[in-house]
Amino acid sequence: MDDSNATQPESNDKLLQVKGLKKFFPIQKGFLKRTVGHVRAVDDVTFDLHEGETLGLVGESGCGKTTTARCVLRAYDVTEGEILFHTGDDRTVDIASLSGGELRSLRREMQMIFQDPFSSLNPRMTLFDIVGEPLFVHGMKSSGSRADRVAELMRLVGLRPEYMRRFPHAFSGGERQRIGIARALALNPRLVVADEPVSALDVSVQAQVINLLMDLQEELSLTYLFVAHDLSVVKQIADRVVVMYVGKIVEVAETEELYANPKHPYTAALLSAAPIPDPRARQSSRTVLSGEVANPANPPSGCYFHPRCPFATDVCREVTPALEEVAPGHSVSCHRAKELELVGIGEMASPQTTD
Amino acid sequence: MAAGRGTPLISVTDLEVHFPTDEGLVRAVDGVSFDIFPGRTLGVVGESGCGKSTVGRAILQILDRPGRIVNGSIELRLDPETDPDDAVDLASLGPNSGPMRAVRWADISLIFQEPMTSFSPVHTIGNQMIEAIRSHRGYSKREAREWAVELLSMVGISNPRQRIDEFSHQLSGGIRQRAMIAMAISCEPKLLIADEPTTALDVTTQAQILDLLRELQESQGMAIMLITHDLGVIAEMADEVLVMYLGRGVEFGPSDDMFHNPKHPYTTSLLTSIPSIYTKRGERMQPIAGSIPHPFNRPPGCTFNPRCPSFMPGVCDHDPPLFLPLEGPHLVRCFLYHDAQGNPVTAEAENDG
Ligand SMILES: Nc1ncnc2c1ncn2[C@@H]1O[C@H](COP(=O)(O)OP(=O)(O)OP(=O)(O)O)[C@@H](O)[C@H]1O
Ligand SMILES: Nc1ncnc2c1ncn2[C@@H]1O[C@H](COP(=O)(O)OP(=O)(O)OP(=O)(O)O)[C@@H](O)[C@H]1O
Ligand code: SF4
Ligand SMILES: [Mg+2]
Ligand SMILES: [Mg+2]
Repeated sequence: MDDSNATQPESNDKLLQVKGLKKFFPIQKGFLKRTVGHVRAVDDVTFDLHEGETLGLVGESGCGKTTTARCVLRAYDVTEGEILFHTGDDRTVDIASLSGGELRSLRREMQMIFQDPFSSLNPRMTLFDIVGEPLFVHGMKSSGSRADRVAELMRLVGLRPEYMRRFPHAFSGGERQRIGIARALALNPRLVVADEPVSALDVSVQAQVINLLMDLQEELSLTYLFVAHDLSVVKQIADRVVVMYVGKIVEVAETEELYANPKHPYTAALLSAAPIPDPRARQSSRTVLSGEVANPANPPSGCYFHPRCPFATDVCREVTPALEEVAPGHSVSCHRAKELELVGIGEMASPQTTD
Repeated sequence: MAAGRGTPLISVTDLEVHFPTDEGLVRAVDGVSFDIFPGRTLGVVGESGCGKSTVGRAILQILDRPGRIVNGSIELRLDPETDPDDAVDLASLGPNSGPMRAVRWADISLIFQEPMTSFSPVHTIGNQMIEAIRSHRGYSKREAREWAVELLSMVGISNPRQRIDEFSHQLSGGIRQRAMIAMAISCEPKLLIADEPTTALDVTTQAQILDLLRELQESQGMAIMLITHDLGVIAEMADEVLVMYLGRGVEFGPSDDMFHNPKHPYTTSLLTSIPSIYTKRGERMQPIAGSIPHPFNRPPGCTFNPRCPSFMPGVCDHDPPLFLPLEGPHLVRCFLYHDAQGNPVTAEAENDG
C-alpha cells in the first residue's frame, strides 16, 4: 500500500483467481453413514474477479452458486482446486489451503452478505452488538470507539445511529438487510460476497438495497461476487456474469455481451424465460426448455445440459465440453458454440412494438 | 365497469376480511373490489402481506381461523352469458354449508405456492385425485382413474400411468406443480385461483408452468385469478390487474393500462422500482421511500401517504380515499382523482389548489 506507485503487473488487478474448484458432498446412507456417492455441487469451476468489479453468478436452484460463494470464503473446505487471493499487503495466498490462523487474519478482507435478513441476525443482540461484534473480535476492545465506528457504519448504510440499542425485530426486511451490510463492512473488507442479498426483499425495497450496494462499491472501492437467480437484478449491478448449470460454468462474458449475444443454449433459454414487466413485450415464440435441472448427484453423460438442449448432437451426449474462449473475454462450454445462432435480448420484440 | 368484456364470472365488491388476534385486529383485506371475466386472467399483485392470498381464500371461504369476512359481497355467476342475473353471493354462504362445498373444486379451485403442502404425503397422487373427482362427479373408481390419467397427460406429465401411483415427494418441483394443476382442473372449474403457482420454481420451470396455464385456459375456457408479487409474471399473463397495498385495492383495470398508463402513485412507483433485463449496468431504479408500515400501525387517510411522491398534506392523511371508477373499467383509490366524498377532481380544480 505504501511503496507501490510503480505500475502493477497485469495479474495484480486480479483480486481473486479461482482455479479448478471442486466441492463434493458425500451422500451417506443407513445407520453406519456409509458414503454411497457424492453430490458434485461445484465441479471444476474456474473464474477471475478483478479489483473493483462486480461479478454476477447466476443459475437455477441447486446449480452450486452458494457452494461456490462459501468455498471462496472458506466457509467450506474445498475438495480440490485453488482460490488465489491478492491480499492488501500485496501477497498472493491460496485460500483453499490456508491454515486456521492465516485464514483468521485474512477474514477482515473478505466478508459475506446473506440472503435472509430475518434469520441471519441474532434476535437477542442489539444493533450495536451485531455490527460491533467483528470489530471486537478483531481487537477493538474499547466500547466507545466501537460505538463511534458503528454509528459511522449505520450512517453509511442509511440507518439512524440513534437506533443502535434496538433489536433486529424492530426493523423491516430492507432495514435488516442494511444491518447485515453494515456488519459486513465493519472491517473495511476488499471483497464482499453477497449471496442473493435482495431475493427475500419486497420489490419496492429491493431497489433501495441495490442502489446502496452500488453506492458503497464506488465509495469504498469494493469488489463484489454477487450471487443471484434474478437476471434483471444481475443486469443492473454486474460488470461480468458467470452462468452455472449443475455445478459447472457454462458461460462467462461481460454483462451486455452475455445478454445481447449468448453463446450457450442454456443462457439463451434463461434469458428467454425471464418475464419482462411489460405486456407489450409478450413473446409469441419463446424457447421453453423441456425437462428439469439435472441432479448433481447423478449428472448426465457428456454435456450436462444435453437432455434439455434443443441443439444436442451425438458428441454432446458423449463428450463433456470444455470452457473455451470464443471471443475476447467471452468463454463458453458448448460443442456447438461457434456455429449456433442464438437470440439474446436485443433481438426480442422491443417493448414499443406491437402488431 | 364490465364494459367490453361481457358479464363478469365473479364480482367482488368492498370485501373486508379481519383476523382478530391477541395483539389486535388484523385488517388483512380492507376494501377490495374487482371483476373476473369468463376465460380471462386476473392478475393480483402487491407486496408481501398486502392480503393477496387472503382474498383468494375468502372467495373459497377457506380462511384460516380466526379470519372472517366482515363486509362485502362475492357474486358468482355460473352462467354469465345466458343468465347474467343468476348470481349467488358466496360471502353470504356459511363456510361449511352445502352450497359452499359444492362450489369448491367444481366451480372454483385453488393451487398453492407450495405444492408439497397441497398433497398428502401418505396417499398416492392418484388416490387423492380419484377421491376429489368422485366426490364431485358420479364416476366409478375406474372411470375416475381413467380421467385422472388423462388429466396428468393433459398437464404434460409423461408416463402418467406410472406417475399416478407415486407419492408427491417422489416428484420434482415442476412435476408436482403440474400434478397439482391436474387435480385442480379435475372437475373443470370455471375459475382457477393460482396463488404464487411458480414462486418456488426456477425460471425455466416457471416458463413451462405459465405456458401450461395458458394452454389449459384456451382449451378449457376457464378464468384464472393469478396471485403473484412478480410484475413480470403479471405482464406476461394477465388481462386485468388488481394492485393491492396494505389490504386495499388501490388500482384495478386492463393490464395494458396498468403498465402503460398507471394512475395510482403506488402502481407508478412499483413500476419504476423494478429492474428488467433491459436495464443497463449501473442504472439506478427509483426505490419507493420507506417501507411497508406494520399492520397494527397503519397511517391515517391513504395508507400509502408516508411513501407517496404526490402526498398532499391535510388531504391524504385525513380521510381514507374511496375505490372508484375513473374511465371505463379502470378503478383507482387516490385523492388525485376523487375527493373524500367521491366527486371527481377536475384538472382545473387541481391547478387552482
Ligand atoms: N451441506 C450440504 N450437504 C449436502 N449437499 C449440499 C450441501 N449444500 C449444498 N448441497 C447440494 O449441492 C448442490 C448445490 O447447492 P447450492 O446451495 O450451492 O446451490 P445454489 O445454486 O446456491 O441453489 P439455490 O439457488 O437454491 O440457493 C445442491 O444439489 C445441494 O443440494
Ligand atoms: N391466520 C392469520 N392470523 C392473523 N393474521 C393473518 C393470518 N393470515 C394472514 N394474516 C395477516 O393478514 C395479512 C395479509 O396476509 P396474506 O397472506 O393475505 O398476504 P399476501 O399478500 O398473500 O402476502 P405474501 O405475498 O407474503 O404471500 C398479513 O398482515 C398477515 O400477517
Ligand atoms: S454442448 Fe450440445 S447439448 Fe450442450 S449446450 Fe451445446 S449444443 Fe446443447
Ligand atoms: Mg443458494
Ligand atoms: Mg400470499
